[in-house]
Formats: sequence, structure tokens, C-alpha cells
Amino acid sequence: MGKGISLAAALAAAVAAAGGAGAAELSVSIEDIRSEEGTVLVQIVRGERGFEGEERPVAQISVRPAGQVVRFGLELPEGTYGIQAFHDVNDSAELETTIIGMPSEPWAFSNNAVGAFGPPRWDAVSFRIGDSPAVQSIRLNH
Amino acid sequence: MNRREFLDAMAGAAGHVAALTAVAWARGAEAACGAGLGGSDPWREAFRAALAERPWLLGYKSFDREVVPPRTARLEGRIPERLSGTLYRNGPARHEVGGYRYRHWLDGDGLVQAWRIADGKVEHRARMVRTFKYDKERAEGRALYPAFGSVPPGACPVSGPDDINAANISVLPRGDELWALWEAGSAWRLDPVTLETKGVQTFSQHTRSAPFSAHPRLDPDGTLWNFGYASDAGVMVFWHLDPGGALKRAAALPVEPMTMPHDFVVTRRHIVLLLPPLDFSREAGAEASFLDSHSWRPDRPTRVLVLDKRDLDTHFWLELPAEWAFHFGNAWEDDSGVIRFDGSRADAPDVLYGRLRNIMKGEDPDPSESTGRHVLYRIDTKRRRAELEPLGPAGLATEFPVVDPRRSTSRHEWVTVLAADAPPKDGGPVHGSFDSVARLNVESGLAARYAYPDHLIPEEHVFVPDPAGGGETDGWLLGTALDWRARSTVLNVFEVGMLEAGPVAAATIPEPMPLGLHGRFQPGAAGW
Repeated sequence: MGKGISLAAALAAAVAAAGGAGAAELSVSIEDIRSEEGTVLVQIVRGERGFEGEERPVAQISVRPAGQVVRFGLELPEGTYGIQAFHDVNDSAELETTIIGMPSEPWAFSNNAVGAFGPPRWDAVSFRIGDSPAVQSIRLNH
Repeated sequence: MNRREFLDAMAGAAGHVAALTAVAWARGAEAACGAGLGGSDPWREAFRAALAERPWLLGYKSFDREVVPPRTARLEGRIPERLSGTLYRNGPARHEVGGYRYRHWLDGDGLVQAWRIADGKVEHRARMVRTFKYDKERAEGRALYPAFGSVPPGACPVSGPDDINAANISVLPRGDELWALWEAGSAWRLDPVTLETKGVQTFSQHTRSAPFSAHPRLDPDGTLWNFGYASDAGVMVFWHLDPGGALKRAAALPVEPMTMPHDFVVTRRHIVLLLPPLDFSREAGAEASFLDSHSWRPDRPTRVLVLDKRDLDTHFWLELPAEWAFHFGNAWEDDSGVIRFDGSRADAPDVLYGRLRNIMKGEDPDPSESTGRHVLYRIDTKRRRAELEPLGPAGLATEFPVVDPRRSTSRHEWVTVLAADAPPKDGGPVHGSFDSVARLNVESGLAARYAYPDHLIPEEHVFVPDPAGGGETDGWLLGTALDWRARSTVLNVFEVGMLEAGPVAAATIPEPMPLGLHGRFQPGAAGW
């Protein structure tokens, strides 16, 4: 976990430097990690374009899990954000999917959003970063 | 992994996350949903009123028990000496949840029944399949999830097919288990003796929740082939299991537009799937049921997919005129590469959208509906041609075709069906359903027929081979019927070659069980 925090701190510093005024702290926990194999990959995206993959994520965190929870914090400029995460159990660097396109590795979105026969919509995933600290406690779906 | 690789990997992963726009995801969150009914349900009231006037609707009454304990049936006639084993049957049974009545017959949760024949006696038992949906709705006392043809008020979001799997269409004895089969999701594993639910069948992580249809086909050596439609993912899934039940191969073939075939056939070399022009689209929105997310396009052909069994990949497409066929008998392929198979073909899916829906509010079938007639399909795999011709007597509606399982993938001469005169003679049976069991010779078209009396509504009749002989008359037909007048359920046994003479044995339980769908016979039953 210490590794995660230090990595995140470095990323957060970079993001904060780019952000400028009107920034706030975001605390994230990724919960219900059921194995210590592989890597937990987390992306923080800004705006719907970021969620749709049309813009690069503002932060990417990669953590070797030790225990059931990964926590990290970072400072982000004011805006609307989303988080997508998955546990890359086999370290293939891809979200493995089943024959019918369902994720076969644990996955989660901010607000613990889930979709109906597909990923959740942006309005279910998005949250605001304003002047006060924000918290996202996200449970992996298995 | 260096930084560059890491970024690429994340970009790749993000692409995967974002690109999964039309696929089924894992089972979802426990959001507050399932509003329940504001008042009484008009469909439930309509059915109750209709049942009071027309007692033959008894077979569509909601079954609200979970377990029917074993009991010995009252026997008339004599069980043939060499006949022993269990007839398992499945069908929709719990048609009402928390006062909400489903809008389609195929929606209700599955009830598996077992008729065990041993030492000249017959015992019956039954149990509901405890799917995710059944357990959750039972705990909450209200309808939470959309079903095949219904969307209850305030239905919960569905994130994958097994959320709404009702395990209510058929059964398959496999190894030391009995599987309860739905159509668009996983099989459910049951104890073959107690019928208790053991859990969902997952062959591998890669095939988790993938659709395993209710009509798997068996090669003579027990090798199993199946298909399944994953409509939201836009793929048709194909399965190849070894005789022990282990997965040998699963493959997904993209199909556009998707549709919902109910059955298919296999030959020694090929898999043949007929794709009716009943196009799937989510454009109708979440308020539309899965059934209503399809539109019938009679102007378009039925696509015929011919797939090589060896790799589940090599394939070609042919066309037939628009049709709807629930069920096929048996297919075989000659040395010149010509495939022949029989099936019950309708011009349109009227029964699916009409009769099977309207029966839920107790309405009589519309006589103008297109019902199934038996046909013989012929597919020339060398010349790439598909055609069909009528089979059997004109004016005979057919359904639930069954062929001697020993003839699977080889040339068969006979098919057994449920039948009715179309149009009905003298008004037809009072209950408006099939009234006969018939055997059709697929070469000569000759038919033998046994007509049930009006107070019995027959269900699918299965072929049970006589171990003492190998011919297509060496066996028995086992079929259940609801006696709506006596409020009982009967298992009838016929000698295949003497169908017209009527049952040689009838085993009755004093309870009207819900009318169901498909069954399989497992010889040499385990003890109860």
C-alpha cells in the first residue's frame, strides 16, 4: 500500500502543478480486492470526453495489491471527474472479457455505478471536485 | 513495466472499458428498485375471472409452492417390464409474484418435475429452481426483474443475462447432475434425486454467463452441441462439450442483426441454425421487454447458418423465405453433402406474440394465428442451396417434435409430435390447445394419431428407447397431460408402434401441475 501512496503522491503533484487555482483533495479507496496477484489499475478521467477515451486520463495509478483495499489521495483542479478501475489479475495489461464481452476480471466505477447490459453512463459515474475534499469508496464488482 | 508500457497498457485498458458499450456486464448493484404494484393487477384479475368460467385454464394458474414432496402415483394399466428411469420435465410455473402476473407464458420461474418409474411403480416429485431471481424476489415478496416478455413496475436494472435467468424451459441429465435450462443464460445445476438447486453452471471464466440454449443436441456418443444468443453482445455462441460434460470448445460468431432462434440441428459434420427475420434492437428502450425489443420483418429472408463442427468457425450462409420455427426433429447428412431435417414451421411468430401472451389474461387463441406445420428442410452443402417442402397430412398443426434419440444425426424415418386439426374440426377441443399425439413418417408422410379426450391437455411426449430392440418402433412414448376436469396430472405410457391404441399405462397424481415445456428421460433412475 505504501507503494501506492508514494506513486499517487508523485502523480498528484504533477496534476496539481498543471491545475492551478481552485483545487481540492480527492481520497480514493478501491475495496474488496480478493487476491494479491496482478495489479490494480485506476484511471481518473475528466469530463465525458475523458470517460469516452477521447482525452487522456488526468491520472493513472498502478498498485500491486497487498490486502483487500488500496487507498490513495491526490489533489485535483475544480471540475467533473470519473474513476474507472480494474484488477488486472493476470497482468496482461488488458481487461479480460468473456466470450460475450462481460469483464472477467474485477472492475468498478466511481459512485459504484453499474450499467444495464453495458458500462454505466457518464452521469452515473461523474462527481464534482470543488473547494472541499471529495471521497470515493469504490467496491470492485466480481 | 516501464512508464511508456504502463501508459500504453492503461490506454489499451481504457479503450476496453470505454468500448464495451453494448455488452452484458457482471451482476450489478443492489439499487432500490422493484416498485411493486400500486393496486391490483388487471392481468391477474382478468385471468382469475376467466378461470372461474373456463376451468381448462387451470394449467396457467400460478404455482406458488416451492416443493412437491415425493408421492406414489395411482397406476392404471401396466408399466412395461423393461421401462425404468426418470422423466424430468421443466416449465414456467410461478406466473405471479407479489400480486403481479407476468404478461407472457414463458416468463414464469421454472418448476422441475420428476416422474420416476421403477419396479412397475411411478413416483412424482417437483421443486422450483432457485435462481438468483427467484431467491431475491421470494425474499422481497415482489417482482423485481424484467422477464422475457414482461417489465414489472419499477423493474431493477439488469446487468447480465443470469440476473433474469428463470431456468424454465428444459432439462438435461448430465453426469451426476440434472441441468435446468433457460435460453439466454447459464444452465442451473440440480440434484437429480432431490431436485435441489446446487448453483449456476460455469464451464470457465471465459464463458461465464454465456447463453446455453434449452435445446442442446447430442451425438450418439454423448458429445453435446449447443448454441445461445447473446443479443446485447451481438454474438451467437456455440458450445462443444465432451460426453462427460467438460467444455471442449466455445466460440462466438458476430451476427447482425441479432435474433432469437429457439432450436437448431446438428449432423455428423455440420451445425445448422435458422435465423428468423425477427430483428433485435434496444431502440425501444428499457421500458420494452426483451420480446418487444424485436421486430418481425416478413419482407426479409430467414438466414441459414451452416457451421463446421470441427472448428466452430468455418461457415456459410444460405436463405429461406421468412419463417418462425420453434422446434426441429432430427437432421442427417448423406455422403453427397445433402442435409435433411424436419421441423414445425410457421409463417410468422404469431404464437409467440399472440397466444402465449394472451393466455396469461385467460384469452382464447386467435384462430387466424399462423401455427406450425411440419416441413422437411433440405440443404445442399455442395451446391449451396436451401429449400423445404411440406411433410405429413395437410391441415395438421404440429409442435414438440421428438425423434428416437438413437437416430440422432443419422437417417430417421419417424417423428412424434403434438398435433391438432388446423382449422379445428367441429370447433376443436374446448381448451383450444393441442389434442393429439401423432407419429409422422418423414419419407411417406403417413401418420398415426391418438386423440386425447377433451378433459386432458397433453404436453410434450418423449421417445424412450426399449433396450431390447434398435428399431424406431422399439420404444415407448412418455407424455404428461393435465386433467383439468379431475384436477389431476397424468403420465401416460404408449407403445410406440401402437400409438392409436392409446396408453398402456397411466399414472395419476391428484394435483393439477402447471402446463410446462420440455422433458428428457434418464434411464436407470437412482434411488429416491
